[in-house]
Amino acid sequence: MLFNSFQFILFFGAVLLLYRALPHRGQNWMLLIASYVFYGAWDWRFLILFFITTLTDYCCALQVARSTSPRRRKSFVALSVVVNMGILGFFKYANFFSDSLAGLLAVFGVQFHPLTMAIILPVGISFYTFQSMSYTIDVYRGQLAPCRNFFDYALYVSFFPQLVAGPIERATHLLPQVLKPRRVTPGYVSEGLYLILWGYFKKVFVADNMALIVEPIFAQQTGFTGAQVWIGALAFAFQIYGDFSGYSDIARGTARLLGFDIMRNFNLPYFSRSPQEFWHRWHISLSSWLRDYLYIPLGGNRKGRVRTYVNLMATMVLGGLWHGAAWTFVIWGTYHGLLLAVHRAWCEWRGQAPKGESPEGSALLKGLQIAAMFLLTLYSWLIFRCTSFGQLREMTRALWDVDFTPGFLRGLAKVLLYAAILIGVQLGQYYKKDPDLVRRWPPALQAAFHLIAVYLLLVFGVFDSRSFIYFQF
Amino acid sequence: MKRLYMCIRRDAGLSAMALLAGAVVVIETGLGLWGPESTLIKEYRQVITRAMREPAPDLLIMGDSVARGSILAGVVAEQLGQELSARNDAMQGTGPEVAYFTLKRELATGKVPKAVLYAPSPHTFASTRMHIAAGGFCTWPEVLDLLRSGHDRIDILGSTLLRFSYTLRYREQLAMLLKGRREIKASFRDPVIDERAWIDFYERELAQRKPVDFSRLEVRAKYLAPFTVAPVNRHYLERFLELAGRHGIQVYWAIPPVMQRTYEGREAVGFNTDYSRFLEGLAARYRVALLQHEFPVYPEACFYDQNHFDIPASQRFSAELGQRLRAAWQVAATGPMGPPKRDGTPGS
Repeated sequence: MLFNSFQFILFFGAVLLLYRALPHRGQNWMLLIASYVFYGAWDWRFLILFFITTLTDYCCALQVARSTSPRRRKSFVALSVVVNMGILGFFKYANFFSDSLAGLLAVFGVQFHPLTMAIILPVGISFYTFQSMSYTIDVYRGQLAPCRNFFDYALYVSFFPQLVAGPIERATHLLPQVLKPRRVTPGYVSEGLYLILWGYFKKVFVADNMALIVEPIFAQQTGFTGAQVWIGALAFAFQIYGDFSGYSDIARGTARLLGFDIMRNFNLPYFSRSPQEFWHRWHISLSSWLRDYLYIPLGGNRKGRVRTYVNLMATMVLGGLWHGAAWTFVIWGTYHGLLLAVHRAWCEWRGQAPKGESPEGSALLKGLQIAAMFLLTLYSWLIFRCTSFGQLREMTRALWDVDFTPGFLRGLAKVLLYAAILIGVQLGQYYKKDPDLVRRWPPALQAAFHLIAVYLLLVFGVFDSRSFIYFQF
Repeated sequence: MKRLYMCIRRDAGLSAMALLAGAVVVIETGLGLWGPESTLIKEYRQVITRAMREPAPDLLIMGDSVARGSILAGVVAEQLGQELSARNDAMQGTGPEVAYFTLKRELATGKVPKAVLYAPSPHTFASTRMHIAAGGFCTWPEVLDLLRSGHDRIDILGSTLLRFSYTLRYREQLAMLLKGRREIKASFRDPVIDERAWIDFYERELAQRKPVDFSRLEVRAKYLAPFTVAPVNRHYLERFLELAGRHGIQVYWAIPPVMQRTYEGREAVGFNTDYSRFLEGLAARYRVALLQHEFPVYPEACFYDQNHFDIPASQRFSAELGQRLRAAWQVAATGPMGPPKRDGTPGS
């Protein structure tokens, strides 16, 4: 069930009506059933896997909390990690690794024909396995008491607004909200409606119109012009941002209408002035997950300079692989790892500690840094979107061959026209340092802004229920 | 209500949302009341209004855009002779569900035609047009009927809701308008229901168009796909034929001509054989007589697009149908109807 489908609007309407009529326990039961219906609408068989993940982590966490023996505790947390990573590894990476092994052996002249299985990738598997696994780890680390009620825990894992494309919520944040009665205040309602409207605008107007520009360009493998590559990369940058942050906004908005608070997953990422800042602003729930459950356990920056860089690269390569079972994602992760490593080395050389927030500077310097980081990000999106090395090579070659033909200017104007409102609002949010800027405007101005967004969405939106890009991860 | 009002007054965000909702309601109501409707919707209304106003003809012509444009009721009636009347109630963009509802509405007013000439384009049975029926044609009880038809209810509900939003109903036209494209005017022109006026209009229209060189165009894939019938189309087709049969209305089935290349492409995928078998099945079960022995083919010069033909070809096709109908009608008039044969001659 896609957020941008009429089916979801009916579904959510029914959920809201029931939700208002039920007491807290009834609300939790109803949300759990609704979440399973929501997920099962893709394929009911996915529910089996989903249930296995939920049950495993619920039981492992209880055992971790109950046992006093460190060895036993460790073995249960290891069991949780093995089951989660086993499911993820099999369903997402089995064919990728066997094909890659065959390719590697072929280089050495060894013929290996792996058994290629017809495996369907369950929607959102990377999101919910990470979310569920982090719960067991948090209980193991003593940061959280285990949830005694299986159904409450199942709701934490399956909560439908953020189930298939995040944000990857931590149990420390979401689980208490499941356990306690929730109150839907007028502020929650207005914020929820605003987020849903803005999310749909980003997805249906910005992202899906950008997709119409992007798809024909990336459908070819060779014969690119520089103009095509630049337009394609720029449009894809807005497409993926509009698509993913639009989903996150709708998720946050629907959760708000149910009285839940879901974390912000994006914070003006294209205004980043350094690679480190970018990862503090882009897909925040994943980058912080990777930091807390991978980078820091690997040693973080506590085991010397060389080990710090190794940990950084390992985290980013695995982060790339998390996005998809393809070598282009490995390259994408490596590219970002290299950017972070170079930035870190630069900061160390200048005697500064690398921080998520870039230091203050003149407006010109800030502008130049933002532009430079945006260009680096654009190239990373080329890597991300290319379907083969050959395509990436061809596109990279064509990058240097730009001429300002009328075709290029028309394409550029089209991209900027679709992104104009998004860029305008975000410039204001960045300048005022206020992500809720629009909600602070006078009601009449807000209403006028929303009206423009609604009518652009209704008239120029793409209504063919395009799936969200991050569902495939 | 008072609590809601207080909440809206207190929260700036809610006030903005309430203002937004109010503005949308005002805009949509205004457009709904005073905005122009598309030619298609106006045509449906005019055809139905005429059907309710006029007495039932002896022969009622039904079908989709091909039947609407290429079966001239006057020419058919002339061929039928015996002062028999004919009227074309075919509607573009519709399937068997609209034929069923139209006939049902006409019968409900006590107007029973002697026969129906049904001439749908065979490829349209594969696709469903419930969204058009739900969004632009059906009455509310008919929408409920559609919901019970087994077709995707979300599709029907979504299409029905379009009735409340002018913007969503005409979003493509509004987008064209905002982009400054002038072709939009054609979508809102007044429909021409009167046959003489329609012939004049189309002759003028077609005279302005550049002739199409079909030999340089690929035949559209949808015309060459194997013959299939969507379940909801089968459902309404059977109900349409049952309804006609219950009221003693003979249904004559006609196959519209196609271009040679379309015919050959269909032969290659077994479309024509499957369609013949489908029609024979209908003729065996319902009061249906098939008017043609084979699939008619017209020269490419007769067509102004890959499926629709010009006025001289329409006159020719209508005359051919009229002659066949006259033969079938005379036989039908002499005795009780038995199962019809492949050539449309009713059995005894």
